[in-house]
Amino acid sequence: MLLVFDLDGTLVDSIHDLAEAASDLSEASAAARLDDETVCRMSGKAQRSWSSG
Amino acid sequence: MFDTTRAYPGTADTLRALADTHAMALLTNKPADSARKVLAHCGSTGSRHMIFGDGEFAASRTGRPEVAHEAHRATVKRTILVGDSEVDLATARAGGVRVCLARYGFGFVRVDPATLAGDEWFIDQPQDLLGLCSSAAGSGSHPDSGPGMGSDPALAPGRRRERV
Repeated sequence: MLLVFDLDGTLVDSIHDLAEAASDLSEASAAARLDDETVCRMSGKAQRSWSSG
Repeated sequence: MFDTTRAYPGTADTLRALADTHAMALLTNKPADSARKVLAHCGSTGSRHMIFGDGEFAASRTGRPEVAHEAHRATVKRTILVGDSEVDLATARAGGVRVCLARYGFGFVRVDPATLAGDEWFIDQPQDLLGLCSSAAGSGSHPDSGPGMGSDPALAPGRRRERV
């Protein structure tokens, strides 16, 4: 069998660090900081282009 | 980068056990180098993974050749995508591969377990992958399934691991 693993949320619980990094970026752009739940909704969405290809 | 990020309990041991009998790859939006650092930081056996990072493919220098070979000849029915989110579920469905979702993952909150069907399962702890993969490998769909991969009817493909 070939097992293909996702990383964030599957192997590692990284949501808080992801939220912190996203918030730092957002703040640097003079936008609001983001909480974990907001970043959770955003995470992984870039894969859509792969999955629909 | 690693203030609070941790591997889910049992992940490293489970990956080590799976590496004995299965080829493994990591699919992530992160660059391959960053993904490898995250795995290493969390004590996971990242060196045995092939990394499918953001626009990159990097076969592990320490990976066993037969594992890479196994990956290259893998078919969709001999592949399981292990994820946690509705994006992972959609990815697996688009690719026609089996899927196993980690119910403990932060992405699972947006998955409706009632929509899982056929070769789509979820697990409650990393260790559950061992029995599930063993069962899936020995399900009889492929005559080249190796010996010793037993079949557990309770985990047979076509049944969900557990209902909510």
